[in-house]
Amino acid sequence: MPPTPRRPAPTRRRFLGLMGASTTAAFAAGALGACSSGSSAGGGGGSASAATSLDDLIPTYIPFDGVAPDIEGLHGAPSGFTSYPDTFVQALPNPPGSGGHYTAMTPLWGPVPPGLGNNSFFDYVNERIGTTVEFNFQDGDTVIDKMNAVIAGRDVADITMFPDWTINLIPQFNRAVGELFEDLTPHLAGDAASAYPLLANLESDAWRWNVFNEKLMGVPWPAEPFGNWVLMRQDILDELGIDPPTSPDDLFAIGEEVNDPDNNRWAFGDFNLSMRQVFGAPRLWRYENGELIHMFETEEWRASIEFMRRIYDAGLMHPDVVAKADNSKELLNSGQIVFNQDGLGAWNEAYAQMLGENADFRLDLMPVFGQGGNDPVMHKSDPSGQSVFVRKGMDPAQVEEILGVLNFCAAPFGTREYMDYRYGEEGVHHERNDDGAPELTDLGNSEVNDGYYFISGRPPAITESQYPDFVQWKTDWYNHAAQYAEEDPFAGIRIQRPERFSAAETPMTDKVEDIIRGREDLSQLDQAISDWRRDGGDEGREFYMGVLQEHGRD
Amino acid sequence: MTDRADSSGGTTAPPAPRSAAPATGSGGRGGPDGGRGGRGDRTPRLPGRRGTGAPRPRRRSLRSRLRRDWQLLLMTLPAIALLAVFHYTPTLGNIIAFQDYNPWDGVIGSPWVGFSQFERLFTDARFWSAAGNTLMIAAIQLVFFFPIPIGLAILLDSVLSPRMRLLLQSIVYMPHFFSWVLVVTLFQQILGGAGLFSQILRQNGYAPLDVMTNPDAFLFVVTSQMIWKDAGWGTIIFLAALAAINQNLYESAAVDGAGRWRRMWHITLPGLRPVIILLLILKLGDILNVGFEQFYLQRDAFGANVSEVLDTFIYHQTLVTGNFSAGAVAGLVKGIVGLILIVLANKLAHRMGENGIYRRS
Repeated sequence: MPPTPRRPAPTRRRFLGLMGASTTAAFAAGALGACSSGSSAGGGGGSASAATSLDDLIPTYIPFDGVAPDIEGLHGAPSGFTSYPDTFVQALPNPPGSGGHYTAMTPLWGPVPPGLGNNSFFDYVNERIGTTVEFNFQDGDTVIDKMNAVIAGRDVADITMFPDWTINLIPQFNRAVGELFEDLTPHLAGDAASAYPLLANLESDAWRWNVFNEKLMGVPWPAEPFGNWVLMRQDILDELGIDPPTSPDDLFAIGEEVNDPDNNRWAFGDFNLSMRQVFGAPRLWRYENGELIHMFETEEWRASIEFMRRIYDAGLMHPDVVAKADNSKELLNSGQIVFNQDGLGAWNEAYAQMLGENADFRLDLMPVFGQGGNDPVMHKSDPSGQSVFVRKGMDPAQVEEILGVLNFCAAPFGTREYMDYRYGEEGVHHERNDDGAPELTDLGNSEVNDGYYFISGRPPAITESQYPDFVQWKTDWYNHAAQYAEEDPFAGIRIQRPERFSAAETPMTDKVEDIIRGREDLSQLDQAISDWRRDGGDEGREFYMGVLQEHGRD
Repeated sequence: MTDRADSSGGTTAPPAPRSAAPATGSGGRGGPDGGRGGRGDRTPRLPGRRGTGAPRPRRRSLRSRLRRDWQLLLMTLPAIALLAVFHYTPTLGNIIAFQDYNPWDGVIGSPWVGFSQFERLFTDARFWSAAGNTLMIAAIQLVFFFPIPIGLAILLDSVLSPRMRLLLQSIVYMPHFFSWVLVVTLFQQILGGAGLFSQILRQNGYAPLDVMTNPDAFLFVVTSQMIWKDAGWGTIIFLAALAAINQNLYESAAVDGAGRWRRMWHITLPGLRPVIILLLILKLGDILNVGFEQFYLQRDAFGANVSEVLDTFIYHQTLVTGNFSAGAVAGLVKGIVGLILIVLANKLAHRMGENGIYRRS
């Protein structure tokens, strides 16, 4: 099951990747200044929600200490659980609901399960909650089309989930949200959230991200700090006696060593995004001496493009990757490439798929390193992967009951509630294997689904203890990498980008693809950058500058 | 493989049994003019239109025509309703081309901006580059792709064994039902830099193929893909038209000593002419729609410089940035260009003495 609401692979739907990269991450709670507020609509239709005095709008953070992790996450990294507990903690003493019936709309990736009335999993969880939740699932792969229609038709369910990247793509979402959904501020802000202890357990950055127009509108899905990185075939490297790379040049040398096209093995996939971070380019803007410098304008970014081109020229990139064929996962899994960038979730997906046929199959995340003695700049994901909204026009008592449902579904790993809403009833929908991990029964396979999982969020945790060394390796990587997280000038501000600014990015990324793939020369970059400035880049700079000034961060 | 007229051989042998049935079906119109070829048979087919000297019947009044045709008109109603609901009504949505449209305010609430969206599109170098690529690809399609189904149909039609013909037809149809993702993957697996051929070349010490990522090879690759995928499918209409050609013509020509090529040139091709012209006109009207998926899938492999077509450009304009008006403008321009081309081509067809796709009565 996906660790976060899955978005289509960036290679296939590149524009989504671009949009995802557009908004900036909330970062460093204490860094948020207190100054004048007000949401702005800049030129070209962009807008930003205020990050100021956000702390009055969001729940007071009250950690839930019922479950202790085996490995504590540092610098904001997720914690790890190296095994399933023998017994699960009961987080809530009683079913929170009071017998209401509510509809819920979420995307679903995978087959649609039998509906309410024919599905004992729904019956079981609804009984545990004390409220009947009736799901209306959207096909996850086309959810953006559906959500556009839902917004335009003002046809929302009582509980409606939007993946965060769809929010970025829906025009005028900022306006729609206030008209369609209930303001949750009175129910959750400050100490009011203590009525929902599992929601109060969600990190503040993720809550800030769900403030629209100075109102707390949505319940977040706290995301892991990092989205993508380079995965490497540790088993192949071990076999060849190669240590993990410690610098870009080292990586290049290792690439030349493992590259063996005659035997159908290439060194690399495309890891352009990771190299940006290795070379120290900002995720979007860098604020320096009173000026905003876009990633495209930095020397670090250019150096990363140059490095990727070097890789192409040396023939280290797999030809299918050069052709942007959508099979880099398979290439990595079958050993046709040794290093490939992917979502971090690809790691456990690969294990689920490969360990059965090849017990020695091992992946690891490439260690985080910088260029020329500098630290890398790790780009943080947006703090919340999705938002759950409550339909406007409900009685306060109904809103409270729904929040009770969301509170139940926010139960973290290690609680009985978590096992209930994810795996159903033990002995009916799942059995626990020798390691204590749940395995779905036949009934579970046909009925259990991610519906409840998707109508709330919970602190991210690394829990896939069924895979050898996985939790240890991943937490080790995280605890090292998280200290290099970027300090973003726009941390905590949800920004809808001006249209011309995002339109100008397409030719630019096309040019980068052309250069990385050897079709054009690196010298073309200057012309492309000045075109980008003219076609929307400078407009974007002004807009972003305005956002900074408005928040008193200039 | 033998030509059909060869099979009917001499003067006395009956025509090949499989072609007997369609031949009788169309015998009526081709008959009177006999071997004079395709153009000659127009006269009996369109009685009273031209050349016969008979006085034109006077145009009837609308009312009497209504009384005469009302059953027919009634029968077309469902189709018209379908078109009205699913085609003409959405077409009205094109007015967002003159707005700064956003879905939240809808068509009614969005502000009007006149022609500024058009201005922006026409001053965008990427639009012209995409339009240029589209025309280039369309021209290549017209020259290299369009004739192939005709030749293939003639070849298929000359296969005598019905079972063999069915088998061959099925084989050449089949790729049409593959999705573009599959076709592109297949080409990548065979011709790509790590594909079948490249690996064989590499293992024998030669340089691998470099066609699937080479912008210079783009037109060649996409045309090959098109031919592989759709040439077989394109034969269907031509096969039907071939079956409608009067077999007696071939026999008579054979009797007169015409060889295989002469029969093809003077009987088969003129017989296909109306269909060819019809499809050519439709193709011209569609010239700016070279396809979306095929180009979208291979955009990054070959680079946007050569592979961005109007459809992918519109896609990146609207979905990436949420600027639906810009997409509507580009779509509108495409539609208008297509309409103009159809009308012109149709006029040209009339000049050449063909019916084209429509004719004012």
